[in-house]
Amino acid sequence: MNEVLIKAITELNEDKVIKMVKSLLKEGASSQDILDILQEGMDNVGNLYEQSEYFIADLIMAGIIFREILNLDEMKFDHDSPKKKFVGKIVLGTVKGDLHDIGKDIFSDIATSAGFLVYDLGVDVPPEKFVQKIIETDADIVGMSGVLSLAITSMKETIDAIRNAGLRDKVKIIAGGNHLTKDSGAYIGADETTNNATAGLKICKKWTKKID
Amino acid sequence: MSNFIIACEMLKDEVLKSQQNTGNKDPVKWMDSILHMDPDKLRADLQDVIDGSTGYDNLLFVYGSCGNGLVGLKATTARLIVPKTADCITMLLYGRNDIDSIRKDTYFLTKGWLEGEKNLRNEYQHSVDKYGEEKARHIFKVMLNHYRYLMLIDSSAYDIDEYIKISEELAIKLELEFMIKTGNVTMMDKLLQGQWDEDFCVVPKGGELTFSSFGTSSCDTILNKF
Repeated sequence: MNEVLIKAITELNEDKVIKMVKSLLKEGASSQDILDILQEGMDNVGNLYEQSEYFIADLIMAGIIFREILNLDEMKFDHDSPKKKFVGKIVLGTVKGDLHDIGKDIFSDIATSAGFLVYDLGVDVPPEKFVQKIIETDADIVGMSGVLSLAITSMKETIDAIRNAGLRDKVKIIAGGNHLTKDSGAYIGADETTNNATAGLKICKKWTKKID
Repeated sequence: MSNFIIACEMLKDEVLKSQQNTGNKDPVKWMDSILHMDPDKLRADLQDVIDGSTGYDNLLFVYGSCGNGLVGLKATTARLIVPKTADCITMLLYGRNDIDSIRKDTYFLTKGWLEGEKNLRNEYQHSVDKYGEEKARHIFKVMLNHYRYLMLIDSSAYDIDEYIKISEELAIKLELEFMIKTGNVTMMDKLLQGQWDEDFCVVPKGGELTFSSFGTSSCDTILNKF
C-alpha cells in the first residue's frame, strides 16, 4: 500500500492520494507514518523537477496535495489535549520585501502538525515585527523565509535587529529559501539554512530537544 | 586584451543588440537558459566553461548572481568580470531606483523568457493539459499569490509588438495586470566596452567569486584559495 501511495504522490494524483491517506489513517496509521510516506513521494517529485521532467506548476501541485493532507482532522496535532504540550514556539515569516509564501506555509503546516506552536507573521515582515513577536511570545525559534535575492539582505537586517534587541542568544534562527547556501547563511548570521521544509523541521526538532 | 563572453541564451537578443551598439566582436558561449532553474548545475556548467577557456585575459559574464548560481566560481584560467546584479531583471532595468519595489509583486517577461523551454506560458498550458483548467487556475493562484503585475520589458533588442499580444493573453489567464516598461542594455554595453566600474565585480585570475561579491561595493575575492 505504501509503495502505491508513494507512486500516487509522485504522479501527483490528488484524488487517489487523499483517498489512500484517509484509508490508512482509518486503519490506524499515525500522522508521522503518513508524513514519512508523503515525504518520500515529495522527494521523488523534487527529483523529477531537477531532472526537468516536472514543471514548477507540478511542485506547486505537490504543495497543494501536501497541505490538503495536513489539513485532514486526523493529521492535526491536538493542541487542546492536556496530555500534549507544545514541542516549542516558532515565530515565522517571509522577510521584508518578499511576498513568497508557499515554502513558509508548508513549513508552518508541518511544524504545527509536529506539535510546534507557530506564530505566522505572514509575508513582507519588517525586522521590528519579528523582534516584537519574539518578545511577546518568548519564542524558541525564528524561521525566516524568502526567495528573492533581496531577501538575503532583509534576513541579515532581521537578524541584526534581533541581535540589537539583545535576543540573539535566546533564539535559534533558521532561514529557508531555494537560493540559500551555507555561505549566505553565514553572511546573514543564521544558525542554519535550508531549502527543504521537512529538513527544516528536523533541525527545529533537534534544537527543541536540546532546549528541553 | 582578449575577451570571451559567457552569456545566458535567455539574453541572446540583448547581447547581440549590445554587440551591435558597441561594435564588439568577442566570441560568445551561449549557455542553456534552463540552467537558471538549478543554481548548482548552473555553477558546475559555468565552471567547466571557465576551466576550458584558455588563452583569454577576461571572461565576461552576462549573468547576475542568479540564485547564487555564480557564487563559488573560480577564476582558474582568466579574470572574471561579472555584473553586480541579482539577476537579468535588474540588468535589463538598469538605472531604476524602484527596482526592489517593482519586483516585489511583478512577474517579468521578455522575448527570451517567453521562448525559454519552461516559460510561464508553457507552464500554464502544461498545467491545463495535466490537471484541467480549474485546477490549473488554482495552481497559478498559489504560485502567483501576492503578484499583481505581469510586466513585459521592452529591452529595445526585439520586435515587441508580437510579444505584447502573447503577454496580454497570459495576463488575462493569470488574472494579473499587464504592463510594459522600457528597459535597456546599458549594463551589457558597459561590460563589453570594458567600463568595469562599481557595478561590476572583477575577480583576478586565481580568485573566487563569493557571496558578498554581489552585495558589497567592493569585490571580496578570495585569493590563493586553490
